[in-house]
Amino acid sequence: MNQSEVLVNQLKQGNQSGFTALVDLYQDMVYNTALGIVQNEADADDVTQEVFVQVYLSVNTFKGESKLSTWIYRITITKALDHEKKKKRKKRVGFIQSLFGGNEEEHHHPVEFDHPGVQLEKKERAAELFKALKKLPDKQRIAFTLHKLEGQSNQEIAEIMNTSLYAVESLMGRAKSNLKKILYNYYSEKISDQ
Amino acid sequence: MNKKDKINDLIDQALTSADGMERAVAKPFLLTRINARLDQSKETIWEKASWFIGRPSVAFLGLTLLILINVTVIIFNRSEPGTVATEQPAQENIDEFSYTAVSTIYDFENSEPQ
Repeated sequence: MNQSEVLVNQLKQGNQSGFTALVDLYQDMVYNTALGIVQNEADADDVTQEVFVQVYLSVNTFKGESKLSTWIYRITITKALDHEKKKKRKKRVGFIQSLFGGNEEEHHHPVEFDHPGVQLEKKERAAELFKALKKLPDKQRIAFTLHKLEGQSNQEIAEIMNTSLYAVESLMGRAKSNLKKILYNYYSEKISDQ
Repeated sequence: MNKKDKINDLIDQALTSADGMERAVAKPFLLTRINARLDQSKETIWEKASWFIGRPSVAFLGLTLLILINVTVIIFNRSEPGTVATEQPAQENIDEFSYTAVSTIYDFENSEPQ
């Protein structure tokens, strides 16, 4: 019996120390993945809490057909995307309210995201990459984020996203191609402005 | 370096900027915050019900409904004549204790047609 199986069994029996160990083991993985998707530290922290609450409450539905980390990755992605959708909805409501003269504070432009793990000399380019990433379709963005931020292989990404290896390779290819297009437009405008 | 080469170089730099990136670390005391959230989600049905009933709007609505029901009952009771309810026991008493009541064969034979 490996470590994750022991943790799951402890959790299913309602053992609090098992839950503590699980949080210790997976907190950075969950936080880093959530941060890559929501691109905001406070939101990523919020999503991380939601993920572990979900893990605690639904551990009995985990049948062990996939790895524990794969299951937690799936919950993290779902929660992060839900969080994003909620935030977008709030912004839209805030914008509409601001049109009618109320709640103008809600409508603001997003600040540039600065991932804490990026090397100092690459910070500027990384911020531009993250900005471009936001414009990708969800599946391409998830595949690219799992690969770049979490160092997952295509096979592992396929398991997490519950799809085939071929589909992941295709997603990665399209993600890179779209990112190149977005960045090309961005840098063309930037150089023209200079 | 022409403009296109410069752009392509910047694109390559951006795409490789995430290489060798370190994992972001979760904020301290995460477990404490998770446990607080779990405690919130463990509220019993009665706690949820009392929270719902305790809301000013619900309490006010409930009180208004209670008053309305009472007022309706009072109004309906006033408008209907109270004779039916009081007459019935009186009639029963007359039937039961009346001297004219037919209770024996003798009385039946000697009673006069009404």
